[in-house]
Amino acid sequence: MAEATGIQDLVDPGAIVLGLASADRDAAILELAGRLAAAGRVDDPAAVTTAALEREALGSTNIGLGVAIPHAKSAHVLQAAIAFGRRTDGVRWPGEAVADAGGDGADDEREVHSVDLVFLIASPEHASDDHLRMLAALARALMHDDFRAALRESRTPADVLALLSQRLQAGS
Amino acid sequence: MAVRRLVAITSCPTGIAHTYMAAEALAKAAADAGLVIKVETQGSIGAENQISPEEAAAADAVIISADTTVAEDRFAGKPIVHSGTGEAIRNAAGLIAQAIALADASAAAATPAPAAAGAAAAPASGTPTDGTDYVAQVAAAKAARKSGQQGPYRHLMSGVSFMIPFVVAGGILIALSFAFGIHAYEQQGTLAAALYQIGAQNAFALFVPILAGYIAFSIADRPGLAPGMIGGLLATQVGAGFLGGIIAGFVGGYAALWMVRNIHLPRSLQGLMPVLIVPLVTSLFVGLVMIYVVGEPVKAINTGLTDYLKGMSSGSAVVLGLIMGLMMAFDMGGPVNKAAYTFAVGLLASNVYTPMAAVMAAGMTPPLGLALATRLAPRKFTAEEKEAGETAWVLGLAFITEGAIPFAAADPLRVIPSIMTGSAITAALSMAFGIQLRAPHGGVFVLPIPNVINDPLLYALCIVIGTVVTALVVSVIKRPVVEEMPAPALAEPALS
Repeated sequence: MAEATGIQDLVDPGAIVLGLASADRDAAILELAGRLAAAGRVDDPAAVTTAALEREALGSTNIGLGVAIPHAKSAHVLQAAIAFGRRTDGVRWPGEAVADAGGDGADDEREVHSVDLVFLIASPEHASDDHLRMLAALARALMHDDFRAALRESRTPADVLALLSQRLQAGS
Repeated sequence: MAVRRLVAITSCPTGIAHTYMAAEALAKAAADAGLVIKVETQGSIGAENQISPEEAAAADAVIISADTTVAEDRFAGKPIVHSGTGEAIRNAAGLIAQAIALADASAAAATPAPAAAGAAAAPASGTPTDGTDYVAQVAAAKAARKSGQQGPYRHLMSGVSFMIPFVVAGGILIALSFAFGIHAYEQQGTLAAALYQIGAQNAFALFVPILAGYIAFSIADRPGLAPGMIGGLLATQVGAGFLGGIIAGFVGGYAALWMVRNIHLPRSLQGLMPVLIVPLVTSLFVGLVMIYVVGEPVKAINTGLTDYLKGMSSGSAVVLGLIMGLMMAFDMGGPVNKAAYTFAVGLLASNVYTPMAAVMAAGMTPPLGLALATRLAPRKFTAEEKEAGETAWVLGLAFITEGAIPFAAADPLRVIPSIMTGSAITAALSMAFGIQLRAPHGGVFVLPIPNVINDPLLYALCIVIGTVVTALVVSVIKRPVVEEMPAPALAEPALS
């Protein structure tokens, strides 16, 4: 049963964008939502973007390691999905990172204002526990330097898919 | 010394991502520091990796990284480090160091001599770098400063936000009962009487206990609620008003917190602490404080001021107006306010009508002025206060001074002087113009009634002036609100 929910249930190769065109948050979210729409997982990318931006308004999802995880819960999400975008030159991500300026090093500046890895998490109104566990596993994996480094070094969407599959299946 | 054991809970509003990122970051940082940690995640899948009572009991310190409210009763007596999930994600090592510093401190407090040696040895043995200790000290100092600044204020705000619905519902129901005619509620069995009973005798009877109870709840969690609410009810009964309620909330809350932290009973009796010992002792304590320490002076203040006003009544009308105005706005329902109000009502029987007019006007301007201020200086009020501001218009017009209490309770040192200024000016003007009022309450509802007031237009002018003065003073001296966290409205689209 558990094997039935694989990473391919959540991630389409078409929704892995290794050269994001958009340099700012709103456009990047819309770009990724568009990919999810093309994959048939979302029926209204603009509505999903709006939902994600409403969530951003409550507190930025820039988690401060060069990673942002915008997420949208919306009736316009037909099937739970994750889209991944990478932009080596960075995507401007307004608002402070989640951490308050609690007081670590000065090199945080870049991280607060720009991210290079973006996971757009789209979830229907009622997601299954399996999908929630998968998202939790992704969230946990993102805390590990080697996982982020591997994402930054991946050359093809297939590499990313393999990486996600390996990391998200292994951890419970 | 044995390896430190930590337990942690992470939680975010909808529990999709941050809960787990924070958990992972804490687990990783603990592993890096060679510590044992168990992290319970309270996410949308429910609580996972739950901390058992035995594990809670064995822990040296607790880390709670949550953007939601997490029940802490199972950790009673343990040192607890609080943070949001964001800080855990970014600075898990700092939180761990802080928790260890607290664990060391509490161990040192429990057994002074050996632990001092242990603390000295700790940096060498337990932790990877010498720097960790310093980092922990800095973090602990920062946390102390932060909580020192915001603690009491946060407790006050928490109490106020629970109180507001009671003030709003009660105030509007009373105002509605006046709409049937200012004496309508005196007729038993009428709808007006029912409205008045719901609003004045019940909703308004609850709001000070609620204020006090939730101040105490914010301080001490569940053990604070009983002493807080009981103390708050006593505050109203001894006539100490909402200021007495604030005292009750803080006394009850800190008493409960102190007991939970410092009274350590033999294990066999520990089960009795939360259900019997803490509520009994703290309620008794706060109750005696309210009756003997707060209640007695309150009575003395009330009679003293009433006598003082009687002495004043032969002197300058304007000075009397100023003083009555200051008194009306000072504690809104407390002994000072009541002295002025009963003084004025008492004079109606002697056919002296000017103080009544002054007192009612002075009781209307605080809510009206604050309502206006929320419009003039919206940045200086929380979203909740702005909403309360809308109803404050209605309550002010109906001479329900309590409409100002949510604002005054949240920021007494700035709001009370402001409303006192406006009320004093209004009452002094009313006295100077010789305005006479023959009804003891009702606000604008009395104005259309023939012969109740001798000059309605001039009276309205006095109230408008006082309202504007109040609003301007409040707008100038209040500080802009810094919203600490995204408003508690957990908007539907929010995940994690």
